[in-house]
Amino acid sequence: MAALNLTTLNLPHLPPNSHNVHIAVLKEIRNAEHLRSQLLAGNDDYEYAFIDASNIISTKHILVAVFKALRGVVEGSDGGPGGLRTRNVHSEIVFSLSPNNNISESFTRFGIVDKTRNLIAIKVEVLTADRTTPTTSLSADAVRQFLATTVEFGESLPFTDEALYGVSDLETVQQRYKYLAINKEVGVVGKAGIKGRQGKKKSADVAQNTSGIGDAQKQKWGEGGEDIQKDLEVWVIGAMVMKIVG
Amino acid sequence: MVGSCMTFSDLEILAALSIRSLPWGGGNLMFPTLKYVYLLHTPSSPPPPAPPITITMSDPTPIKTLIKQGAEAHLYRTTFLTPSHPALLKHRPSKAYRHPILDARLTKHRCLSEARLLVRMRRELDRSRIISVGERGGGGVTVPAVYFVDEARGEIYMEWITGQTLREVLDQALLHTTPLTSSPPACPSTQQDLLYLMTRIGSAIAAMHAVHVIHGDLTTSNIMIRAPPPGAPGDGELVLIDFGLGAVSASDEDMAVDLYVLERAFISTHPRAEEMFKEVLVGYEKGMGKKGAQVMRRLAEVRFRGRKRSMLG
Ligand SMILES: Nc1ncnc2c1ncn2[C@@H]1O[C@H](COP(=O)(O)OP(=O)(O)O)[C@@H](O)[C@H]1O
Ligand SMILES: [Mg+2]
Repeated sequence: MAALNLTTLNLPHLPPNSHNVHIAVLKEIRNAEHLRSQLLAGNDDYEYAFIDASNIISTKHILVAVFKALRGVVEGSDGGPGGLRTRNVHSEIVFSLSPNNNISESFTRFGIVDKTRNLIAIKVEVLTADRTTPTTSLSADAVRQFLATTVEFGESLPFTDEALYGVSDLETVQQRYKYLAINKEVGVVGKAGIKGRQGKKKSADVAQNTSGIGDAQKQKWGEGGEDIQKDLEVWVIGAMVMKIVG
Repeated sequence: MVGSCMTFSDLEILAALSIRSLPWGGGNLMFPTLKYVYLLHTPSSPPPPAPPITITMSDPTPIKTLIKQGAEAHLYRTTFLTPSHPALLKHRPSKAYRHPILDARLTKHRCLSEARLLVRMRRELDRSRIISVGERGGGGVTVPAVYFVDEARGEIYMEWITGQTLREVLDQALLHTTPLTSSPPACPSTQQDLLYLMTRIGSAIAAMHAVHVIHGDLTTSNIMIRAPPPGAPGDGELVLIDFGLGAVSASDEDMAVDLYVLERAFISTHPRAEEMFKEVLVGYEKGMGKKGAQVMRRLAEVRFRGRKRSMLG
């Protein structure tokens, strides 16, 4: 069994110890068709949020979707608002990525498709009232073992912005969230972004970005690329949270 | 399959400890790089497969500090998604004196309408060229990024703005006769700086109106000046906040009323603030281009109506 990076985390602003989220980023997968068919067949073992990584720009992008879905199940269960629009928390994560309310479209756009090469696999364990794992099959080890034996992948990447940036397709992201179209109105995205941008360049967040993604972003967008990438992330998160794109 | 392994709670504590000790990220929009705790699981039986790595990140109980309590909303400083990422939580609690159904509807409406306007405006301002206001460079205009909305609960999570409100800046600048010994980062130190700030505010409002957004409650507490990062040259970015009463409109009248509301807010702050507001209008008219004069004429009418109304009592 190949080595597999699995990130396990808790998100704030949910009841403490109410859940664990397990995330793996798997590069160059070879059996997307199989995974998708099992998912469609309703095989419970395959109940994961399987996301095509080309649609994703950052860890926050993913985490906002997970948070949104979890607010539905975890908060909904203790009487508060919430509830799911789709079958389960995993399909809800995929739907949460969508900038509109079309559920079936959200699966074909953001979920795994037959030609998916790079995969983000997410398993959520919702813990019971006594805050213990409901079944051992959901523990981190079980998730790791399942993914390692079921997904045929080339490489397991860590769940970091750098790794996701490497497998994301910014053109696709812009299409999905209708961002390129908007930028086209004012000209080439890079240039439009850079022109009036002197004021923003010195903002705190730019100085903060020490992750080394900067160089890659510059290559993609030209000078000032980090700012454009950030604008895109802000829009993507706002659009998916508000379901604002028709 | 897995031999010696820490329990999950150990992991959580480890993660929490290492994460808690991190300083706040400051006024960043972009989320800082995630911090992880790595734990190697050592396999118990040979032959050893490559060791899988578990990364745990956790913040079960984020700190939530009440910073302001207005008539409409409670404002908290907190974190979002990761412990090192600061955020503002704006919560509109239910009001006991309102009919419960009406109350829930009103809360939901204000919440969604504010968040929607913020998201749209942020995009419009990002793509518009009116980003750098003023010839000194620096100090564009924006609105907080929206992170999450729970309209049923009346919550908006948004970008934390490190800086001061215009109200705070004016209070410091106009109420203190002696110069401050240690002026806060966003506070202009000279009269000239203060006047320049006013023109920039005018341009910022023009930028908002140019994308057809009406604020609806334009007061000096609803304009923030972001503190520039230490050592960075240029002026702090202007950030327009509190769009709960905002609307989309291109009408001169609506724009003029925005300006009128702000003018009243200025005048009620300090007598000298009136002369400051003239600079706001200069910046506004310049920023608005052709439409500027039209809105100015409307403003005169709105003022006149306002006076008449107050005379009639
Ligand atoms: N994003 C933010 N970052 C930092 N402080 C904020 C932010 N939004 C609001 N504040 C502070 O909270 C105050 C009230 O927020 P506001 O949205 O105007 O609520 P209200 O409807 O109660 O006026 C503001 O005047 C400002 O001091
Ligand atoms: Mg306010």
